[in-house]
Amino acid sequence: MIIVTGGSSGLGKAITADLRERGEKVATISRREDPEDKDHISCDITNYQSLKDAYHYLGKSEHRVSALINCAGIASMNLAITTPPSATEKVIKTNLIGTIFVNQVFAPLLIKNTGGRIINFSTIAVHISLKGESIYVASKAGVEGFSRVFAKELAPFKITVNCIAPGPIKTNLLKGVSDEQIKKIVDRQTINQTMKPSAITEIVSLLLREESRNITGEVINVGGV
Amino acid sequence: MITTQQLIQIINDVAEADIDLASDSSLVGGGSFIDSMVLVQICLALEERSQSDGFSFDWTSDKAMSSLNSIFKTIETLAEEYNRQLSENKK
Repeated sequence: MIIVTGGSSGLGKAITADLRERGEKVATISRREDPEDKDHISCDITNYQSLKDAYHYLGKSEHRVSALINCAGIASMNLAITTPPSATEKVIKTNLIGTIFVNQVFAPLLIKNTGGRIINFSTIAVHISLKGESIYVASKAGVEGFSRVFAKELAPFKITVNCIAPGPIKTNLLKGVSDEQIKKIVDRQTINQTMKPSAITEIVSLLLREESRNITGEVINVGGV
Repeated sequence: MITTQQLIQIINDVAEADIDLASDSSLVGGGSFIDSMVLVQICLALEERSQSDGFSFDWTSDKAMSSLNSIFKTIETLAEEYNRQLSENKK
């Protein structure tokens, strides 16, 4: 079984659909209810106890957990000086603390599986120091640092931990971002193209393969920087 | 309830070794006889045991981080914490 957080929308939804198409059993986790998905768990990733409850529920499943993909996150585009403190706290709490909590709580399921994959999500904005995204970048740079060290802590258990750092992908996360702003970012990628969700699902699929067992502690900037 | 002797047995099973351990043997720090990998496996073994005792052992309490009162200080302190959580659960 593969756990996908943020699996009800955006990239998480695309990844979930792709994995299921490939025949994988996927449990999705997000705040919202999803009555149409029988393998959905409603859970707030910033709430440690809520995640623990999900952990115990999944631990009782007949399916072993082989991978954890953390797509849950929120975007924030604003100058640091004009960002309200509540927005700063929300971004750091969801993107950084939420991701750390998910990794901490669910990693034992992978240890019990005697190996697996963890994929966290960063952003290309970390590497290109994108103006107007300082808080968002701070949260995702934290995710990258955490992932690099967590990769070392989990290496003895045959678990790899990597980050995928996409540029602009047409999902709800980009609502309110103008085409001109998107072009400015894309122009700074090595491959000057706006990527489709399939660019990400392909990389996820690659990292899940047995042949990727020696790739860990890495950040994959989609489209290059 | 778990005794220190039972915990020592669990540790040796997890470490796949026959280490000469006592209730005051350290689990963390310079004097520890195990590495962090084994410590994680001990936690998971205790979690598994706790399911049959009707609760879920939590090794992530604030107390686990305390240098003076860490639940991982010795085999005895870890057994005490397990038994404390067990009796809390029975209340």
